Amino acid sequence: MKKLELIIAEIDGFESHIEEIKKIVPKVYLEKYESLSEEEGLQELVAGLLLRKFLGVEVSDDIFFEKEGRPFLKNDSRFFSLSHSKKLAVLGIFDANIGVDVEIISRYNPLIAKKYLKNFRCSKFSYEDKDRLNSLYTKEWTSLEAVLKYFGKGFSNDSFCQNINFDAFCVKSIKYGQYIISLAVDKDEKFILDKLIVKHFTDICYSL
Amino acid sequence: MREEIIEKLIEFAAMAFSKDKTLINENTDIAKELGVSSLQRVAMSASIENEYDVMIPVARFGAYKTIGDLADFILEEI
Repeated sequence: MKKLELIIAEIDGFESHIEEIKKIVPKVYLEKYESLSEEEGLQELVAGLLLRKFLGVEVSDDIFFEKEGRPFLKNDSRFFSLSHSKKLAVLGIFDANIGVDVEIISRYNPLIAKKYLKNFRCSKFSYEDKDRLNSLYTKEWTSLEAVLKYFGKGFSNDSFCQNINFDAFCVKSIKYGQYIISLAVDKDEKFILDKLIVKHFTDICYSL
Repeated sequence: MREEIIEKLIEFAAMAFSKDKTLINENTDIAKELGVSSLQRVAMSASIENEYDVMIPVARFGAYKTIGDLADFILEEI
């Protein structure tokens, strides 16, 4: 059975090593760091570091980006998908196509649910269930984004987003603290999920 | 009209990006000061669509640097 690696990095543990990380990530991630807010810039730096450590991406030329921004490895047949939210960065690595998404558990937004999450029914939740409502809403959202990332698509085409056949996928969601992580692979894929939690820079960088 | 749109956009941005409304203005840089999270941008886009019937795909958010730029686009579309 195939192994699906899911690396979960807690970004707080990298905050005091920004200068070291900047020296070793591919330039494309350094550029993202410089163009974004402090929080999102750090997310990109940690994402770049995970690529360096777990997939050997040392320079920007080791990866290429499709039209809608999806990255691929140039000289490696493995697929990967990166996602980050607030203080968590996640990297999924698989021998076949994969999409990964992480989000901090977010407040239910009826406009988004109406437009994109057609099968999600908030009416079954009472007011007291709002934590559960938010968790399930975030799970539905990350599942959708994971499938979109499987296709290398964003939200540029509403019709595509609204008509995905989820039966064609195996989608798994994990709650990690205040976050929901979802991953999507082809429904026929059989795999063992191998999770690695990285809490600090030195957990992975001693060997660089 | 433009001022009203900006006021609405500030309200939507504060809700979508969980930011203090008083820290957002016409010149707020969307990517640098608010963020690039797709869920938050979709939330902002959905509020705009609901209010003005103007669709802004998330992928196009990057084309508008500031809240003022976004307001100008909406003004052209309505």
